Amino acid sequence: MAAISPDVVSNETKVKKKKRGRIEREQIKWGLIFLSPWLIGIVVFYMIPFIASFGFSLLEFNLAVPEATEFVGLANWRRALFNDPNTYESFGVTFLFALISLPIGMAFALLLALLMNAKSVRGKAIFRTLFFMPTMVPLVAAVLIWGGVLNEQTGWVNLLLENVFGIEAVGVDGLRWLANPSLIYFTLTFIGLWAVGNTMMITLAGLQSVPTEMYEAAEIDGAGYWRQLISITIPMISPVLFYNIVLGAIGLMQYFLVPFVLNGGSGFPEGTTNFVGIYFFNQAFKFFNMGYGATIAWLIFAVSLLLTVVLFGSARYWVYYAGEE
Amino acid sequence: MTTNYSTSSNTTFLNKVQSMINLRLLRSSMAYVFLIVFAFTTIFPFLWMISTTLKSRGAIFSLPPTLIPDLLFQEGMWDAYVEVWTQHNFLRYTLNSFFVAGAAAVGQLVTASMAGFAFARMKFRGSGFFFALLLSTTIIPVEVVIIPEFLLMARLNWLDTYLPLIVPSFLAASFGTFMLREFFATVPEALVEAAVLDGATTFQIYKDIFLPISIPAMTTLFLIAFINNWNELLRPVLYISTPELRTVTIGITTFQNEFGAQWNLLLAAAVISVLPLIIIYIFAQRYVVEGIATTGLK
Repeated sequence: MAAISPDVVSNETKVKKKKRGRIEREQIKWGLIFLSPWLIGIVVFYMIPFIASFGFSLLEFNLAVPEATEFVGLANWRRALFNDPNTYESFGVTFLFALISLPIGMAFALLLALLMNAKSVRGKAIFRTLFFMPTMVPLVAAVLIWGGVLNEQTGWVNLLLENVFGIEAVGVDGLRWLANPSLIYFTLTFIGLWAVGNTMMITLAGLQSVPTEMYEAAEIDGAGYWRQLISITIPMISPVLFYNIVLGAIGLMQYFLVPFVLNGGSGFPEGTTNFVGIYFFNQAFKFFNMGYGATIAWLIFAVSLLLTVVLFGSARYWVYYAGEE
Repeated sequence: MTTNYSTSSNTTFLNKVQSMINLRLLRSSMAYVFLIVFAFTTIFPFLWMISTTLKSRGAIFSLPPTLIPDLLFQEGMWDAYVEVWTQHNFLRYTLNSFFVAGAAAVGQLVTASMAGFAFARMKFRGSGFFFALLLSTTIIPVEVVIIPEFLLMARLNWLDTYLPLIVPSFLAASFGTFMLREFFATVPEALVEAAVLDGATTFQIYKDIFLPISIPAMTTLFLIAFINNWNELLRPVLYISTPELRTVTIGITTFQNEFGAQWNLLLAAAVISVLPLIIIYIFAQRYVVEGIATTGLK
């Protein structure tokens, strides 16, 4: 008896283990089946290219002369970081534009969202529909349209400024929205503002989730509108603002389509639109420098990552998460 | 004395109320001025675009400029549209865009609903790792993946076909997966338990419970995916060279290079590219806006 019983016990646990193993294997099987189309997509179109791109950055690899491909180690990286003034310039141009465009865009989105959330404003549904509509316009069409409206000779904006407001705007000495290096970033910001509806909606959703009791309590304490805005609204929606800023900053690092449609990536005027996304495209798909292009791409990724880390680091000081002390 | 005191207090009180009302009035009228100016700025480019397409070539740059087109209700009012549709092949481009964006969006529904289901409701080893993978793809810029993708497409002999415009978007549906995972997670556990007791298989639970219940979320995802793929420009620029295979967006870009100054034609093409999306927006605004406001992504 005594000799049999341990045997039986161990047999039982074996069966249990086997059973548990089978269930687990079954679960993994079904999990992988359901994940598989997505997983294939992610591996083939994200993970492998992501790593391959880094591999390419170590090659001298031009698609025009593929037979001359050779391993060059970190030569591309040295060139991008130390010997190529264009890289610095394109990053500088991108940062400069981001510093102008991001605050203006965020301020407008917040202002519009506040107005769309204000009790005293009537016709909000109409305004909201209207402000969101341009986000539906394909970028190509949007750039085309604004190119026409802002045309220095024939555009309505300049004709209006000149004939109604008496500002000398029309012509080569006037306001050349798309050709003046000191105006171009504001023009691009303005074109971007046409699609502010997206950010406005996200901000609005944040505003609507602020509990109304907080405002009621503040009202009783005698806090005015601005006081409430600064002490309640902004802190309460700071996670949403933070999210918008992170997405906006990452998006601007990849800013490419607007200048590409506007001038085909020529950098006009005076190189001010040579954003790093444009520089990448020109290296990779105009000069077919796949190796050096991949290096620029990885630099864009590294800088975006760094930016995200810095922003998340700053979040601690100004982003308020409910439930945390 | 006392009466005097009280009267003066009353007037200051009234003054205060008066100035408060004024301030509020001033503030709200400033708000309206701002909103109306911004609304006008928003709507004007649309008006200008439509108006220009209904003008004859000579009237486009007439001075002073007018928003009421000269061909309005005249013969040849739709000439610009007819010309870009028939002579400049935009009928074909539009159909191409519908096909590419539709196929990619349907694909995203399949891929994202399956993966979203797995992430939300299935517990298996490794799911945490795969979820981290899902999140990590959102910070990888397109620049990093596009060179190897381009070479892969060339190797597969897919250049100058619709496939590179559909397949990556079809399969790598990370945004949709994330969105449907969030939605599936809200489905009551009791529903699933009841189905399990009835002997439903995993696939039946997915097909008979989760898919029907998530039609609103799936509609949102379909529309957002359709819009994004309709707007896609980088991939058509890289992959399409045969004119017949162009999508609307790349059609406009090439058209612009060839016929730069013919604004009535150019903008007619722009209207064609905008119209389907505006129609979607008007009829399905709730879905589109909800999807963007709740997930914060487009």
